[in-house]
Amino acid sequence: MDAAIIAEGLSKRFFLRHNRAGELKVRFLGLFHASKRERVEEFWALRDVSLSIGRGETVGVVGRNGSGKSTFLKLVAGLHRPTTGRLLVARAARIGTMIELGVGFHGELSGRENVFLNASIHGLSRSETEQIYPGVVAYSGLEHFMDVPIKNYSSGMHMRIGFAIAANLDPDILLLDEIFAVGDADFQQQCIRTVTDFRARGKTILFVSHSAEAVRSICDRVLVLDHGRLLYDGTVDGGLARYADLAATPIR
Amino acid sequence: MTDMMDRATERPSIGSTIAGLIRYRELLKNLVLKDLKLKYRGSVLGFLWSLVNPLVMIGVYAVAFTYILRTSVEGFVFFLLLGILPWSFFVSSANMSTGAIIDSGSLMRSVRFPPAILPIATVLFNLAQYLLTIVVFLPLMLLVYRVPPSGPMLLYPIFLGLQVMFTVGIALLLAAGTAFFRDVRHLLEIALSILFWLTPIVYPLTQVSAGLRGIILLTPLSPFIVAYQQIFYYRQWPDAEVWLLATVYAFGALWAGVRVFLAVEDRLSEQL
Repeated sequence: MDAAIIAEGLSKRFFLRHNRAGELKVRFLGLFHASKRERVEEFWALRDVSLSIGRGETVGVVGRNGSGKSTFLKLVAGLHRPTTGRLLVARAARIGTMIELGVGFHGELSGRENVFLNASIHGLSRSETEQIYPGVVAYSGLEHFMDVPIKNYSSGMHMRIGFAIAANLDPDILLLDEIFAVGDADFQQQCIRTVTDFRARGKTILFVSHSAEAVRSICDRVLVLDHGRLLYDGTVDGGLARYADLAATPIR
Repeated sequence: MTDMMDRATERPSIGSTIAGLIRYRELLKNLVLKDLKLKYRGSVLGFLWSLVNPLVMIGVYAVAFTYILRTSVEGFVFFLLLGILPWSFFVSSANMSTGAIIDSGSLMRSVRFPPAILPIATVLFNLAQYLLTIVVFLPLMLLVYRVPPSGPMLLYPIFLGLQVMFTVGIALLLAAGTAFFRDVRHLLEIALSILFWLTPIVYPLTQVSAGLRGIILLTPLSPFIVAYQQIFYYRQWPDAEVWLLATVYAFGALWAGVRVFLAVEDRLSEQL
């Protein structure tokens, strides 16, 4: 099988800055008081992760908060740079990220204007956006609200429009972060149908979720991360069992 | 085996940035339009507000310099306008660009796009506003002061282009700089208020003592503003040193801005 994503010894270190030295005040006070100096704490969000994900696989990524799931997605998306190791991603692949829905929306702009702005943030041209626009509107079910400023939308409508755009971007690799955690049962059903449809069309999907049910219904492989390490890489049942064990043990 | 790239060794380059800006030109356009729409939507006077602000500024300075400080500059309002409009364009671009990156934190952490687009969009938004005011005021002044058209006026787009290059370079520096040092905002404010008096806007360069004149001309905005004054007010071809300084500043600032921005670009999303 052709690989879509390959990680070899992948690690990511973040620096947590206490008393950010971004402010001159901190630098100045730091001259006199050691306690007011900037302290930089290292934090390894991912440690030595190696794996290979084939094209067309739907992989669930589970783990407790802070286990490195989102960091892994962001590295694949190219939002952060790996600290050590290698992370290979198919060069021609269009990567669609649903990491946060509705980021970049402006309350004063109408639904329609926000769709065009948001699509261009994802790199679409005007004509490409015009092509997907009817699909976005139909998918969101908000035909009558497209001329209304988005500030008047309920949070559910906000999510629908965000997901409708993401669902119509037609990426080769789809990165989904906790998107089902929000929204009502209807919305969750729609999300699952969409992801199932993506899967049927042979897209590669990385799916971060806390919901065992959602993972079971769409994934064919599960990765379990803990404290940045890859604990398990295998079947859905095995992975979910491992995650259940992990969730039962207190966080050290 | 598919052609794969390594995220660990990917580095932003001038080539990839230019390709990115071309690919994302729709985003650039949309960001500028969004700011213009948000600025005027819901206000009764709409874009007329953009004319009110310079009008008030010009009025205040005109009164102060004509009746209190008794400037000897003939047609002071015309002279003032040639300096103060491009100055305001630079100042608002610089001020807004400090927030271009840091105020888009959640966007930069969730979608990948060339971040240089953000400060560039800021400059183009301010350029659009500047052009709106200049298109209204400049012909008006030429009429009121009965200035006949002359050859040097054809040079205006060239110096405007150089000033835009200069401003984009500074905006890239400020946008990236603020991500690492939040104090850039405050330092900029102080620097601009000093720079205003070191730029020949409310006084002509010719009035400055010979010893200081060279220094005043060397300040960052002077060559552009002196060029506009020479072109429209004095109706002469810009001096050689004005040409030289404007060109060097424009290319120098753009080069420095691009180099610094590219050097820190991939660390920006972790600084927010």
